[in-house]
Amino acid sequence: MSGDLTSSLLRAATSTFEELGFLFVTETPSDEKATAAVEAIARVPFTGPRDGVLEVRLAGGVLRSLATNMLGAEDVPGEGIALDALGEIANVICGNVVPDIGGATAIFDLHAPDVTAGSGNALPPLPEPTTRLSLGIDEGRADLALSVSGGEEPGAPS
Amino acid sequence: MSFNVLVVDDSSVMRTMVIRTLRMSGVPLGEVHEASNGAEALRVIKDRWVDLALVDINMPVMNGVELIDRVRSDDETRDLAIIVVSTESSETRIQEVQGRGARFVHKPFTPEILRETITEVTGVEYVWGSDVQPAASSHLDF
Repeated sequence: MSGDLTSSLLRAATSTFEELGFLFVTETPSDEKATAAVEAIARVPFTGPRDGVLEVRLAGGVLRSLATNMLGAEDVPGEGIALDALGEIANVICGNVVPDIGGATAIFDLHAPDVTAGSGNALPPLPEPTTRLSLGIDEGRADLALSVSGGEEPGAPS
Repeated sequence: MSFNVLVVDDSSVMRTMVIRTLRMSGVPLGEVHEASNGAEALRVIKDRWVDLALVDINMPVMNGVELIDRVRSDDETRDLAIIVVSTESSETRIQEVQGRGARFVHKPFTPEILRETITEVTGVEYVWGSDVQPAASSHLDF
């Protein structure tokens, strides 16, 4: 696991949840948050010098908070809109991480987010994550896993 | 005085987010138009007076780079102020956009970053709660 890539994922996720989602982020979820049930999952596949996928799982009521904050809505957004909001968040996080995989000038194509409500039991398993982390997000949690295939270890000195 | 703005993004959530952040930035807004791809955006630009376009890159039908090329190739629209708002991080692609006379704002973005970039691209300075003050190099005619 690359420490550099973990740091990159942490920076990207923190700034995205805070600046786009207006949510408070802590690096370590509390015990209560750590056991909250997963409510939605977004996966963003990417291709380029290295291929891979970023997965973002939200738990503990973060999905609704995220959509409400992003849209500035007085009413709670419907599930479809909330899932779209999660997809956008995952897309932005992924876009901020890929330069640390392939370099600043490398061109990556991010594919449309695949977003699923619920705990994702029917989803195909991810490849072994290159790095993963959990964040406390307001009253809930976000679990992020980044899988990168092929080539040298991401973030390794060249 | 206020800006008529066009927000172009295939995600309705992101369009709403951009407009919300624009309002938080304190930039005086007039009409706010939305389009979900470059082709829709071109129709809006031809039918309405638009001072500033905020454009995503990756969109179906017509992407942001094609849109900028079409705008720049039309004498009536070539001077439109354009800011690309994107997750794109490749310096190569960012330079492609900047080479077409557009500024670049990376997602995620804050209201402050959006306000500073709008000031740079329009040449119009303004203060929260006051009318816009055209700078010496203003590109806009009010």
